[in-house]
Amino acid sequence: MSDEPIRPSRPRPRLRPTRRTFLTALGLGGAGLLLPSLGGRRTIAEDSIPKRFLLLWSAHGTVRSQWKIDRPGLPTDRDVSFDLGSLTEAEMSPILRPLHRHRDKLLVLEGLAQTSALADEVGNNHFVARSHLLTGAPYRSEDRARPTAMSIDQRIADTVRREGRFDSIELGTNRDSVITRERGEVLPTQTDPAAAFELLFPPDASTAEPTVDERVRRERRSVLDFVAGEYERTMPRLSGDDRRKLEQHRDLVRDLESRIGALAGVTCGRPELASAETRFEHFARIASAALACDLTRVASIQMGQLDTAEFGAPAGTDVHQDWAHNAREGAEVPADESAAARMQREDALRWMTEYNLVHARQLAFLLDLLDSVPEGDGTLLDHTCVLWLTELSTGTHELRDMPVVMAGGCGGAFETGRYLRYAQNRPMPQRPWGPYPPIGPAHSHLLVSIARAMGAELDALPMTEATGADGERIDLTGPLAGLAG
Amino acid sequence: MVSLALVAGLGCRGTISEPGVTPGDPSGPGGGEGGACDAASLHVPDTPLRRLSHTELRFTLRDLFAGVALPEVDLIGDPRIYGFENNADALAPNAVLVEQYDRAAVDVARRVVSAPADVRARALGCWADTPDAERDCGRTIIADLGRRAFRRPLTAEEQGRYRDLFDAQHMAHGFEVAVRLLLEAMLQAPQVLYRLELGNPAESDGELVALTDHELATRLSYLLWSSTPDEELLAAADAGALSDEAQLEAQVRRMVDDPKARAAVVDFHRQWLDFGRVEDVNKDSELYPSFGDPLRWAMRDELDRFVEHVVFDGEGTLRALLLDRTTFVDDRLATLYGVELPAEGEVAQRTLPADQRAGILTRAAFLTSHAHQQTGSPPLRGVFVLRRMLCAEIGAPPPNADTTAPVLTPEQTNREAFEARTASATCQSCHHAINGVGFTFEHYDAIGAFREVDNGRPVDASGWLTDTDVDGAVDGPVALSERLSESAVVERCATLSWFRYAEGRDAAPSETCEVDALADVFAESGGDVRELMVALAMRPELRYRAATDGETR
Repeated sequence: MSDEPIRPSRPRPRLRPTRRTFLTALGLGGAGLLLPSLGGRRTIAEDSIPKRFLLLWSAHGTVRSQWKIDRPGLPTDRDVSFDLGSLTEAEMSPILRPLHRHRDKLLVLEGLAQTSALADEVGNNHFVARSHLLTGAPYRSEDRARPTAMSIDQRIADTVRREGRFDSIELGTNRDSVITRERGEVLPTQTDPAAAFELLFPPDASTAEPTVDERVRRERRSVLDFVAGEYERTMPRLSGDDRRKLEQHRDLVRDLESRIGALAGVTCGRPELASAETRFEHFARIASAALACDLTRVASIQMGQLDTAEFGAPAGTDVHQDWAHNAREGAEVPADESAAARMQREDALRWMTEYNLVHARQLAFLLDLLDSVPEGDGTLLDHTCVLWLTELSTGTHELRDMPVVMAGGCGGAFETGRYLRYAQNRPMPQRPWGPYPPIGPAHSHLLVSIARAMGAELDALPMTEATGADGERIDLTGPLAGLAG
Repeated sequence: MVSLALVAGLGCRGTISEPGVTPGDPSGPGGGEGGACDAASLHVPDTPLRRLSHTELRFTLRDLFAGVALPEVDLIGDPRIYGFENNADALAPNAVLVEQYDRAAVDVARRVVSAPADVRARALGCWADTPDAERDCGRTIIADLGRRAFRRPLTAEEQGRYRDLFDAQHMAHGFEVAVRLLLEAMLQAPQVLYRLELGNPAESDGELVALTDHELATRLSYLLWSSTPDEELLAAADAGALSDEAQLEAQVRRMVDDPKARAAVVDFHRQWLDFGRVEDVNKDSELYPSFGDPLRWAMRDELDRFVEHVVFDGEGTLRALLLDRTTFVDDRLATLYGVELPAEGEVAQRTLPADQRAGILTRAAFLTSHAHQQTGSPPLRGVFVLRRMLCAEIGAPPPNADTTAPVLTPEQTNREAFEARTASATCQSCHHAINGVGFTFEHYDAIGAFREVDNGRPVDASGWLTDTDVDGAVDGPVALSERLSESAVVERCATLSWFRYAEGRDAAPSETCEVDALADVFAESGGDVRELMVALAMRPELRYRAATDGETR
């Protein structure tokens, strides 16, 4: 795919050494950082610091004119990059402006496309994108589209999981979770911060004479051990998928059992959840604390459609119909647009900008938290790969030219502090109808890169190729060029 | 049996780019191509292991611990397939759910042991008031509650394992703790959460394995009650009585008449006809100041009462579901319907005006949930009727379709705005059929109030049905309901929906003939819903499962 090299970035001033410069100083910089085998070459201290993955998913899409950052004189016919470090706050785009203070640790990607989704069966793009965005796999079209494969965070979770800890935690306001397991089984989100808090940070055991409730609680593991044994005994009497289902259940009971045991020995700073804070802020505090304590190495926060009150749009308006769908720009605007339609469209662009600003501020808040935890020579953020994806590229259901924000160097795997603009010069897949504008690289490559950076041995997602509009083969395998700098 | 094309054979199928082609198999389970039923041999496809759906688990706990004030059991939602929440394939375990099961077991066990003494003793089979009685009571609970929870007597080995668990905890923590832990363990057991059907290998012909009487009893009770067998059914299974056709039918008919069938039938309709959708919609508060949670819940509540009334206290037929004008209203909903107000804070039975309303498709909850914030939506209403009442396969609109609510010009009616929006030939490949149904609902606004005038002009609610067995012009929602009530396609679609719900899966293409036969029985009974339930329960196929690889010859 992207044979075109990303242009090397200019040296830039740094506020303090990052993981990346530290590793470079040790002679470990360079492209090799993408390889999972690097771990063995690290110092012992660094080796003991695990990498974490944190996904932020938001509904609808961005307003491109308010999201993109352009610099004068950059060519559009090839992939380019520039430093974010030297940008003033005003030079950041309106939507990304709240992230200015984190610019050294950001990696902003413009121009990727959900190519696999564009090549899949045509359907409602909300459902198509929900299936493809994190899986790169075809979707099932019955009733409502459903994904058919594991989401990327779960692939990572399976790689970095440890006995006795949470494989991953799924937080969010989004009831239709986009997190899926092998066959597309949807992993539900914990929507109640209080419940998530209680699960992750249970109260300390009392030392006084135990009550009946306490005795029952202390024996919880014995019960689970017994229950797992019952599944174990039943399994051999079934076959095929039925047996696998019980096996899966048994494993989950065992996980729960060992987690309860292991967690009993973990001392972890419990985050304070102030009642005045938003649900997202609670989620962010819970997720960062869980990552900081190493209760889990994979977390996601899915933000389903915001309420109008959350981004200031008039009460009673319909976020989806009134604003997202009308946020048309550029070629989407009909030449003969009426004055009324134009007014509505401008309102929609304004509100969808505010909508995305809410999420940019949320991400900035989350990064503040991660960056405030010292770890090794840097902070928790330096060892985390944060990925903010929007459900669709735009409110108008576009799947190409996606707005992607990454943060944290993932333990040095990615060179942060840069804005990468991928040229729209790759073929659009064949579709039942046109137009077929050229698009950027497939987002599948990004998912592969991230999974590899997190240690997974992954070459490709389930959809490995597509056919371009002119019949050419589009390769969807392998990593994305340019991330390592 | 004569097979009409018993599916709405829309020109529009699946993706808009490929008219006439449906993803999946439209003419399979839905279509009427099945050959003659072969009465001599039973066909039973592979059926995946079924986990209890959340409703089934809640009803099961209700019946296992009758009289106990049970906690709200919080369980993460399962995927819905054709609206149904009991699809076996979709009901896989996950980490959150397994943890929630554990929590639920802990909470339920606590509530059971702290229930009033008589309730507790009834739920558990005993309670030890003296230390001497504790050991024996533990054993009684294992045997009695165990049999009800496992839906069969425990084997000696199973009893032994639970006894060891109980005895160890009894020794360490005393009776109450031991009983609670015993309950926690039982409630998470595979024998409870899953419907294990090991069958009777002795009665296997290499392709089919006969179920045991207890497994059959379990199928019957989850089909008819969405819950666990009661004592009478278990006793019949204990006695081997379900192998006798007459005794089986007696049990089935008893169960269909039991009050527990009411909640189950209401729950089937909740899933099939998406009653929950009204819980999530919002309306423009300037246009619809009356719409808020009280009215929303009154609408939602009406559907449950209506279904129960029609099936159990009324005519009991599919026809009546579509045509019966009985309603149950509070003062807010009565105002919306224009019927006599009940006393404040009460719900009263009323009859809706014959020229404005008929059955389920003319009720406020359906109309409100298939509408935009300001206006009714002919496409949403039309698609719902086609999909759920006619089992038509309709794909999603193309991604570049504008699915926003059209902004009405001053002189435009809602209908005209949608006509303009869907006028192109591409749109019409599906919207001809969709709009023909959807436009008949134009007499209702976005919260289902009846209107004669839209945007200053008389409402035009004329529509049409196309590619069904009752094609032709239809004027208004009452006429549409009447027409659908005469349709064999609708009857077959209801049958197919019941079949999907009963089996926890879609009908296999090879089962077309069986679904047709059930639809015939349903038709011959005059569309009697409870007769269809009896027919589903009496299917010989229900008594077998397919042999697995290791079991086939």
